[in-house]
Amino acid sequence: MTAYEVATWTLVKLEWAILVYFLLVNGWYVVLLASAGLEMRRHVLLSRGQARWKMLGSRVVPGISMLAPAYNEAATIGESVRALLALYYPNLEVVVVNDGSKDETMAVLIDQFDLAPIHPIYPRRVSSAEVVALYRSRTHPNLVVVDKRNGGKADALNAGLNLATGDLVCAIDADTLIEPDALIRMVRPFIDDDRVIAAGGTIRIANASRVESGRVVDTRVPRRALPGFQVVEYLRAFLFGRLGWNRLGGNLIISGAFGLFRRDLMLKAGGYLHETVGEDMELVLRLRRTGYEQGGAHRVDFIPDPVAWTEAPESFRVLARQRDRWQRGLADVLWRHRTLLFNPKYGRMGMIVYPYFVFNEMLAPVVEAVGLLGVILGLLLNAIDWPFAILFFLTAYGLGAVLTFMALVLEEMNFHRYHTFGDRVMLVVWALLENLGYRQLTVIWRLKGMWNYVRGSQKWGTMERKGFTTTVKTPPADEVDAGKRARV
Amino acid sequence: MEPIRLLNLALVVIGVCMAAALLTIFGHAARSGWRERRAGPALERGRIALASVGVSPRVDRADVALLKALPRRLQVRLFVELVPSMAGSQRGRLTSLAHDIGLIAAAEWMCGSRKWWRRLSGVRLLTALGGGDNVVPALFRDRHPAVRTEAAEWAGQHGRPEIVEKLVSLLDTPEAVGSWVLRDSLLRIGPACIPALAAYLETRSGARAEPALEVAAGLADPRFGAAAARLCGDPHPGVRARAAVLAGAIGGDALVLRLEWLLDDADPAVRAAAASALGRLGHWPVATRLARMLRDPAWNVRSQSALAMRRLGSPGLLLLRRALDDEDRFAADIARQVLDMPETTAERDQSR
Repeated sequence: MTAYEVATWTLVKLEWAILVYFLLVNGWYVVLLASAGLEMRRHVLLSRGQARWKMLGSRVVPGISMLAPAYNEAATIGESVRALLALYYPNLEVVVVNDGSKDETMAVLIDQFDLAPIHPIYPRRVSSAEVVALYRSRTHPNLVVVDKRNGGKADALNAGLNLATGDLVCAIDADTLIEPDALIRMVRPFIDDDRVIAAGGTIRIANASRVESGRVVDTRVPRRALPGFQVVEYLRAFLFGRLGWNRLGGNLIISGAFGLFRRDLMLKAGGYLHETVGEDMELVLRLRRTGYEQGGAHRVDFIPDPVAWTEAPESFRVLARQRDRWQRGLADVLWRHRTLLFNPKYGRMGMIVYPYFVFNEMLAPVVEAVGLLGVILGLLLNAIDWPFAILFFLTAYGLGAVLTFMALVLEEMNFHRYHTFGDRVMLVVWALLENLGYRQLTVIWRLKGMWNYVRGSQKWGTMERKGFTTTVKTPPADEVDAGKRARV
Repeated sequence: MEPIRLLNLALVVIGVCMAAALLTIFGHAARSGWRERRAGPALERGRIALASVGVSPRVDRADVALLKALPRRLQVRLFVELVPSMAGSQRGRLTSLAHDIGLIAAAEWMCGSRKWWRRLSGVRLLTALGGGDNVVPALFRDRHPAVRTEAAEWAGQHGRPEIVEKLVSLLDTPEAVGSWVLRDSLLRIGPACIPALAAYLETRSGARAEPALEVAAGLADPRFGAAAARLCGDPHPGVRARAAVLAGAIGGDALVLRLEWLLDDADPAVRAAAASALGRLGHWPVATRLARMLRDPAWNVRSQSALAMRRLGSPGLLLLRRALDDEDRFAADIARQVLDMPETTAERDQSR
């Protein structure tokens, strides 16, 4: 056999392996899509005509502590905290954690909320960096501010967790815009079912939307390509992926931008893990895993309602860093909990959900890159014929586009948030163009993330943002930076 | 089939799916827009007619005719929109109007449907509008949990003894309805549920008594006194803690004695609840005991004791200031924190 023949034979076999993988993955996507459709129908039927406002007058709703870590947020912190305090919920506590900001964040908080310093002692149930001072607001009795040394987002959340007193804890990013009735919607799964340990909702992209006083008042689709692609990407991830998993074994991820957890279980589990960049996913996995091991509650619910908005990166450099970090976080968390793989002790989580995340979410960029390179090489070596390659390429990306289109259908039929004809056209345009270049770029960034993980990188990187109402640029921070993140 | 033909077929299916999705997206948007535009004037007229019911006790026949002529979907929308803003006699007039135009009859018919979501919509409508006395109680034992839950919510607005009895009996099976909805509904009913709840608490103990104790604490009636005193000695710490809260809400010599006894309980949650309850009652003779509890090994006990002392007024504050020099660092620290606390915050923390 000549070298040419060996190479050709290998490529053909490889292409078959890729084809089988492609069929398995897309077959599973169809199952997920059907599950998402059924879940959406159930959700709509259950929530139609529900008098959510009645909860505002209830004396027995579980208390919620909002944990808002802030790092160099002086320009927006006042408005963000006011928006949190104005959320519709009868038993709410807001714990703002100043994670060693180098700007005027703390001074702004003291000034705008009439903070009184109190003796900095607290039950140290989970570990965090040193707390420098504690404050309580004289004007808002439900506002607590923790001033601590810089330690990153997970560390700040742990410090807040020590101070929280609510039955439930809501972890958010300081710049997340929350829908006024988000907590009333999110608390429902906990009220209806004692087995629920955590709940997440749909996070949407607010770039190009009009924001007033910390609220999204006019939802628009960005006309710029990069945030536009992310809008459809988020819609697909939440309305198709996470919603679908609700019925098939539960989610492993609750977005760090907005998630609700049972405080007692978080404390029992030891809070957030510092040593990972995927702390939000790691916590969910650990809580579920503990539930299975101890025969306790382990259900994670996802609510498709749009509950929070975030700002997507608008530059390739920042987006690349974000995706690199997400991939590292994913790989790290899956490796830490590797004993779950095909372990029947963990039920559907071990047998279906975890393997899916390993073989699809984590390894997809590797397979996609190998497949693409294989096709190119195969064409160069004449091992694959052109018409077949073109048809295969069109089918693969066509299927991707169909899934996105179905997510758009779910959004239009149930939430109807984008109300102009132009916005709907733009959604369709971004859904079609996403596969031509953007998707391949994300593959490269994720591969880079895998490589960096193998090399042992734990960097957060920095996040620059324009801001919703005013232009804000976050200055470069330390190695650990409580920048914004929302895993998709 | 050859692979290339399979791919061709897949592409055709993909094309059809994409076309169908596009048609759905834009078709749905166009249809919703058209329906909204078409219903706009009718909705506006309906809103004016309904609002006039709120201000005037006399119902205009023309208004009734106008509302009756509206499609059912718009009638529901209008009533559900207006109901949260109306109470008392206005709400009564709205219910009577809903009855006149056949909306309540329609909702009652929906409650008998074989489809769970229709039954759910029916109960929800009756919860919003009133009515349904003959059909909703049967839904407390519905097959679907959401319908059962909604029926319990409906009961929160109907304090008739037989409804209350049914609701209280459901406390034994919180998994059937959900403990929150039951507690919320009973608290909404208010004093009307006290006799049934007191009778229930007389015979229950352990975890089953917990939700009822929470409701009883919210109602704070002396008729719960006997149950509170008995449950302060329950083997379950959670029940003792809740009984302490109830005792603190009712007061009286016998219950204060029970609370003082609970200050030495083995469980920290119970000690904390007892300290908080005594603070709430302003029972200043326990100030020195609370001051000793500032040295308790449990954070929650120290914190609640300090807050209770602050609530006792002068005697408590005096002892708190003295505790600033306590040789026990934990006692001094918690005293400092509570004394530093802004007034509004301390009040909030004590009421939690």
